[in-house]
Amino acid sequence: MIHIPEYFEFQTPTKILAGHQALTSLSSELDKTNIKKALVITDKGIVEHGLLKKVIDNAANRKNVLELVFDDVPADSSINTVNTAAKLYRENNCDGILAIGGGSVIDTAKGVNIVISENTEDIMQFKGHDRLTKKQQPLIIIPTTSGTGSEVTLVSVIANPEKGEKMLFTSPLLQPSLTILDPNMTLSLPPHLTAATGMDALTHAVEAVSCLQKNPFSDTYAEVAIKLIAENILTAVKDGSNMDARYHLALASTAAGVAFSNSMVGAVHGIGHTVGAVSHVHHGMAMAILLPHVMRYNASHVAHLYAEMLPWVSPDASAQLSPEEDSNQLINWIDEKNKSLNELCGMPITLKQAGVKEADLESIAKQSLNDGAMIANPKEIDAKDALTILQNAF
Amino acid sequence: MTLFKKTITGIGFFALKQAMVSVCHFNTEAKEELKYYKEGYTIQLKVLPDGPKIAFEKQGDSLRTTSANKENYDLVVIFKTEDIAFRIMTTLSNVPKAFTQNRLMVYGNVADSMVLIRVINIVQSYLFPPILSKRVLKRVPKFNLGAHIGRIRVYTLGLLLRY
Repeated sequence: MIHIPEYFEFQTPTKILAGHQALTSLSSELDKTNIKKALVITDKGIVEHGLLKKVIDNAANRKNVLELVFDDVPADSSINTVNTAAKLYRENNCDGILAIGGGSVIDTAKGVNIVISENTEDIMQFKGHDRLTKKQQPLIIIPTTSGTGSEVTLVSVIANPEKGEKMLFTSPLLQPSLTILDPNMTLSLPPHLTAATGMDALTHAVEAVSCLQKNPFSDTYAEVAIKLIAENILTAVKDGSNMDARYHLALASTAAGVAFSNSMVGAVHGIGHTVGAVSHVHHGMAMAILLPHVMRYNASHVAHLYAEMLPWVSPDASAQLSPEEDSNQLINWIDEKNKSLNELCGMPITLKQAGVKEADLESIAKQSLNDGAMIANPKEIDAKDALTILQNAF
Repeated sequence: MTLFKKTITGIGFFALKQAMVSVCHFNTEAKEELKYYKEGYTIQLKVLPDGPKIAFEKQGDSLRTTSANKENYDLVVIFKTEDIAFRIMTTLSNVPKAFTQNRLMVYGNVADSMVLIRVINIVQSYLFPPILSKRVLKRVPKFNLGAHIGRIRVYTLGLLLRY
């Protein structure tokens, strides 16, 4: 039976161009958006891997639009980076943004868009949920990873180093205008990051289906994402040059992004964000490690929803069992997938392997309760519950 | 919005305001949560377009009410419509659901709002009888004798005198 919530909102305004040579459409898209001077936001790694050049080459007769490049985005986007890039935007009278990169680059681009569109010097005024009021500048995203889903989401996370906090900005106005998914742009992603980002996308989809604001539209996107990840993640990790696997993972990431942007994520993200902040574990790796453990915790409330996902990952699996048994089969499938990825590329499958200290678990458990994702988790979690999950994942 | 709904929402906000102060005055879990906020931290809850407003300020290990018409607060939680405020006040909906349904706006740190939501959860467990608490809380706390006395205190001294 399709679950229909009493009320929900669904919005996905981002135009998506997807395909093996999708990037070749950049020139015509720049014409359509009528951007005369874009600020290109990226990082040094993208430049070194020749991905910036690849994008500019595809701009063909519109190369002049992409002359202004800001490539100083660090691994974690910060308020200082956003302000520096926004200053460059203003000084050069830009009228649009093109971001090439992963989560941090895209978060920075969204942050610059807030500063410019809201005409402010202080982005902190706009931290919070649904606080933006002004139409944003055209924002084109070309992702180089397949996991965050940021190319279609309404979220931006920006660090405030002075206060030692990560500021969350969520607003439907933050959703980009256009995203170009071209597998040529993810070819340079190494196996362990392909694995981790793929599991991040899987987590987005699983949480979208099982959290409080699941709805029939987000479920549909999540189903596409889960099927594509199940079919392609091992292939892409084994053979990074497999263009079909890369393409399908890129689609999965975006589909999962649309799903969770409209239904929210839960405790895997709530706890995982804190694991990342305290122990500097890669976000996707934290997701992969925590996903089965949080699912086991939540199963008493949402086993029927997990059971619905079993045929998406394993079409041959028997769906004749009870929801609890089917739910266990799904969780075991995720455990097996993690083990395979560990064998293929060394992706850690315990928090200990990922470098988390046992002494930090209690503090991570307490801090994680203040993460915004916790509110959408289907089952209440207190510090003791979070600690048990962390200990099981250790 | 009908006068009936406006009246119920107004009464609900009044009861929430009184109960917040009262419960934070004696409940140790609520006091523990409030430690997260700096002294003088201010919170406003308001209903758009022109519904009720209530505001609090952290003082010591508790909350006290403050003017709901200041220009700035550290944290503002906005109910986007009078209908969602009515639904929450009458247990037809709840705060987590309204948040995930995008029917609330948060001005300020989302982390700070999580603390507030946990405090509201504690307050609601006193304000509503268990049968209604089940509708608004993901997990209803087990009440011992002391907590039952606390509930009586909220319904009497709390709603009338704030303590």
